[in-house]
Amino acid sequence: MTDHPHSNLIRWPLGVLLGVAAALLAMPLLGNGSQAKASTVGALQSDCDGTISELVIHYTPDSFAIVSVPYRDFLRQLPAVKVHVLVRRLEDFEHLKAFVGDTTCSLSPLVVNHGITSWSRDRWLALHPAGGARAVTLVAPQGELGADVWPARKGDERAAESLAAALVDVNAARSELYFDGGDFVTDGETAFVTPNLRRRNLGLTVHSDAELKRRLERLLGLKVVLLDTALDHHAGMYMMATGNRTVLVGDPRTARDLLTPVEAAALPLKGGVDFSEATLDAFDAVAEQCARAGYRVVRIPQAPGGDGRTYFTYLNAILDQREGRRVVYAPTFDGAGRLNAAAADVWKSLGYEVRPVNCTSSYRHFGSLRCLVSVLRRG
Amino acid sequence: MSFPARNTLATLGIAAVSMFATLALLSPRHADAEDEEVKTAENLRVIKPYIGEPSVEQDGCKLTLKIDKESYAAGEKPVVTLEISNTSGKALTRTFDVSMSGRNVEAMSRMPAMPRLLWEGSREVTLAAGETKTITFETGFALKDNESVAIRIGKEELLERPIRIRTEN
Repeated sequence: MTDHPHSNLIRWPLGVLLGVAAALLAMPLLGNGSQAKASTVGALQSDCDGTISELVIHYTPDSFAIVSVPYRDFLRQLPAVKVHVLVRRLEDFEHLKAFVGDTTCSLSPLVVNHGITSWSRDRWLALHPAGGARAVTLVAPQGELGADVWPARKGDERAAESLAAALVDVNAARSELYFDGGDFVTDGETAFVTPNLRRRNLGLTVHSDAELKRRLERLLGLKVVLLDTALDHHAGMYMMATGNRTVLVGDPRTARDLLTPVEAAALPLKGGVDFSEATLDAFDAVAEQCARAGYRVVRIPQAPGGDGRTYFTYLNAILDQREGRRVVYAPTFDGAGRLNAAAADVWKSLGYEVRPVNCTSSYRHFGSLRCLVSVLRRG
Repeated sequence: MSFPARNTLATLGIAAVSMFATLALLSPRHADAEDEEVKTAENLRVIKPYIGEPSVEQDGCKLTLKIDKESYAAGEKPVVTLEISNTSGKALTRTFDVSMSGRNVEAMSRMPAMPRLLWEGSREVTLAAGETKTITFETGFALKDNESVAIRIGKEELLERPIRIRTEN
């Protein structure tokens, strides 16, 4: 029997069509799909989106005068979340708990056998679980700035491992990169990264900006914006992601305009308040880079100190998204009533309920609320 | 074999070849090998090798920064060496800046203070195409045990290398 004269005309297109269709159907199973199933570590947790379920703070009795009031204000306003408190001794935990008093959140001690400071933020980055896994992965840096000459900071480097050893569903890993947790601000889509991180890695761990960006994007699972100009400080001191592709950036110009020269001079900032053109330009440069990345930028009053470290910043905040509402636990400072009020108005204009946390005792030591509190898990 | 059966088999054969060809061409396995790696805590724990001797490209030169010790005790004075290779293909005369900055560590603070300049040096060097020269700087600055110190190449902070200081703790 011979073939039908038109059979070749049908056989080839039909065969090719079937083959391509089968390949397209099989591809997710053979390619990305299998990798997604195998990957158990997801993206860096957002600073603004999602419901906070677990937090980590550190406490040392010698920092009581610095951290006790911010902790009390913050912990008393928290809803029912779990707060792990890293301490050297159980009595340190009891001491803090007695000062804080009754809370809706539950405080749980975690005694570690290494030195710590009370600044938990810079110790690690929390990456979501992925592919059906449940464990959050804490990525610690290869090394911390100043750790060689700072014993407590050297101990801080072990915080991620201590958490992973003590808690269920927490893993720890150490990156080959040098960074502080405070070098990042993210909304779960984009990670904004400080120039300090670039400075600490270029030529040491990476050969180029492009390599650094690629390695960070791989690690964080997010788009990375390497800020090329910014203040010499942690990102959360001068900017914050607030959701809906919006970024808040500090604005000393607004703060200057809100205050009389006498009021500005009276602000208790080391080296006096710094409203210099160079500093204003550095804040503006951050705003411009965020806008170039496709973000709506909103400015918020901020008063930086002349020492380049002490800031009246309302951005060093903890953000929560719960039952359809957004809440910000925002720093306030004694002696800055007008700035406090103006900053709260900006947060409210973005749809946030503002819960104030007095950070007067901590800003003198170069950090406020976000520097003291790390989010371990968001739902 | 009947005509319909033979025709079906031939069509399926063409389909199979088309499927493998499509997978070979479009499969994500052709992507960057690094992107292929699954992301797990175990993988992240593997520290990839990093650059032993920091180097950077600037104005047709490759600059490699070396210091005379892996770590220093307080009071020691680092000696810095800059290896300069002319990669531009033509003779060059360039001025190279090296500096050392320190950040004071205040025990209770969140981070070290702003950096302050501890020492700086500058040298003009002429290099033939492809030539490599080494220049040495004696910093003459005694390190302290409460200051985080780094060596930098270039006024625009092209490259920074931390100095490790041994402490009693």
